[in-house]
Amino acid sequence: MTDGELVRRVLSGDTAAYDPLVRRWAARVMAVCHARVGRSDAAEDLAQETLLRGLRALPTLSDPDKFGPWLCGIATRTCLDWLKAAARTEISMSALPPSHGGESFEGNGGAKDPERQDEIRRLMTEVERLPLPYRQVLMHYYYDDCTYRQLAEQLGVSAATVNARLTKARQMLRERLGAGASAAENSDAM
Amino acid sequence: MQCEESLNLISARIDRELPADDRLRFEAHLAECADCRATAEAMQLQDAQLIRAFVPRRQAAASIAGLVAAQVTTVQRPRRAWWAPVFISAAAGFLLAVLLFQPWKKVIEPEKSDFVKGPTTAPALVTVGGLDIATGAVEIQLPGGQWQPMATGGRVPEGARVRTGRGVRCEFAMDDHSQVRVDQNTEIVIRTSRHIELARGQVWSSVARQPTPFQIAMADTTVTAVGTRFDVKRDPDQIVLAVVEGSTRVKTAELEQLVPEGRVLKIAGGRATELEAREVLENVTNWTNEILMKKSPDDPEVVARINDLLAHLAQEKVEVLGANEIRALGDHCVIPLTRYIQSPRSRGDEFKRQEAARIIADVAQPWCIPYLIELLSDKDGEVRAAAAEGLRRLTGTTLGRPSEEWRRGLSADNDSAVRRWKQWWAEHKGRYPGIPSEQENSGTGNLPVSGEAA
Repeated sequence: MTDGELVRRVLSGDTAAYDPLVRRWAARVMAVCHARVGRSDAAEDLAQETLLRGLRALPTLSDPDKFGPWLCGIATRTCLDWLKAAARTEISMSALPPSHGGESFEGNGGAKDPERQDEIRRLMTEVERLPLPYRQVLMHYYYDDCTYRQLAEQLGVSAATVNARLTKARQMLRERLGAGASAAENSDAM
Repeated sequence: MQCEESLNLISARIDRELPADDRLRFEAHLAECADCRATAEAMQLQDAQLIRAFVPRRQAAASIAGLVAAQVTTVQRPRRAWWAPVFISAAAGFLLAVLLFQPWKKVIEPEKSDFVKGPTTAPALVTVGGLDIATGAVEIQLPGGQWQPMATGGRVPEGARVRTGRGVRCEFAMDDHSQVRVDQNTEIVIRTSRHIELARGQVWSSVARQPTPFQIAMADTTVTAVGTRFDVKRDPDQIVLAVVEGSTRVKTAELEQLVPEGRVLKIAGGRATELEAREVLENVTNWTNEILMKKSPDDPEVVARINDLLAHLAQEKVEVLGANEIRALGDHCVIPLTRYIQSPRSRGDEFKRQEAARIIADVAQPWCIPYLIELLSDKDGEVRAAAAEGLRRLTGTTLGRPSEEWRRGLSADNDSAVRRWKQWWAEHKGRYPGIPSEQENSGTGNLPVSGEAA
């Protein structure tokens, strides 16, 4: 069933039809939020807020077939509002504790080995520190298994730009993690 | 092929996006370039790490989807969707009617010339209250007598039956200071000022505190309250009790239970079912708006009702729209947002309250200054600081108290600073174009104005 068909069913009173819609778009919405705010914990709250706002605002959606891009727009606005509020509290984002300090990486595909957990945590921290265009493309890619073409449509750029940004993002991660590892090795040696 | 070009193709190959046209050239380059082979290997490993790192993130997204889906099913949003616009329309209609028709300025006259004027009862009967407000023809039947029209101001004796027809609603002021509102198509028997039988229809009661319990009786069901406001609707097959304030005790042949504030109970076939409280509560008591419109705009209940409707309008906006979309509404949103911040509706939603205050501070115009001053008394430092910032923007002064002090200030200091602002406004409002000089700002203190004032 297409997004448009599901949206029309929700609007006609079939609440259950919102279930497949949120499951279809939750990862994309999380990617938008995580990339925008750079913190996984806040991204989860904002994604939830977005999905609920989307339902409330559904009667205002003019083209039901464009539910996905419309929902991602709500996600972006929700995040921008949050960022503005966070900025006004005058707390430096860098002063905040790491977002996934208490997060368990166990589970399907997760690492149980503490060393590997630490490695993954450092990797995610560096992903969150990438400049917005690069972390945006990287997060969309790894959250949602998109093709370059789909990513290009979502981000409003060409497929070649998606390829170039993903490459650059991976390169930056290698450099940063490599530099971090070297620094740690040097510090151990001293 | 240069190594620089190869780098993008390494990425594309990992992502299964390598163009067929480039495949042969790329493979040939890799075969002869050890650096690019090493890079390809490292990036392949990194891709595996990234996939692992995002597994918990994808699981979190799936959990959130499940959580939202469950919430949607639990709260049955579409049910809300049909009544919300109806309620908002009713609210807007009520506000418009109050503002346009100013019903408090009209003298309420009986609609028919043969209405009984003055006391309705024979002097020998003990009266328990009087008809205070009516939107149409109300009829009364004295014990052993005939039905006859009743004018506002008419007295009601013990044991009298009262009925309303289609579209007619009324309010009785009881001698014990309770109020009883009667909906259209309703019939009641007023046994005493504390005991009313509901034969059919709907009544809303605001009960004065007295030692004697106040009761609404219907067949085998009795609702008892001591100092409370509640609404009872009797249909042929069910009774709906909505407790607006305080608590009530409901008793039937099969059950007896306490119903606290904010709850709505449906009693049918000897069983009680709780309904979705807040939304149903507003819906079932909406009919009293027509009676409220007949009251003075200064009546505390009218003021509270209008403020709640404004808060509700703002609540709908803050839940659906982003902050910038609300900002785009301009200063029209200042009063609703102020009432939302001050309303129990925003209790516990610190983020939305603070955001609303910031929007007000950004869009407020000089006429909004009294509302900003009201917000200086808020319990949340962020709200106070935003209001102070708005005042600074509009007036060019802080009266010696910058927003940081409002954010962290002690309540005693805040109180005296609020008094200074009220005093300042009383003295300076004439300088702002479009502000009527007689505009009142209740609670203006007498403390001296700071020398920093413009």
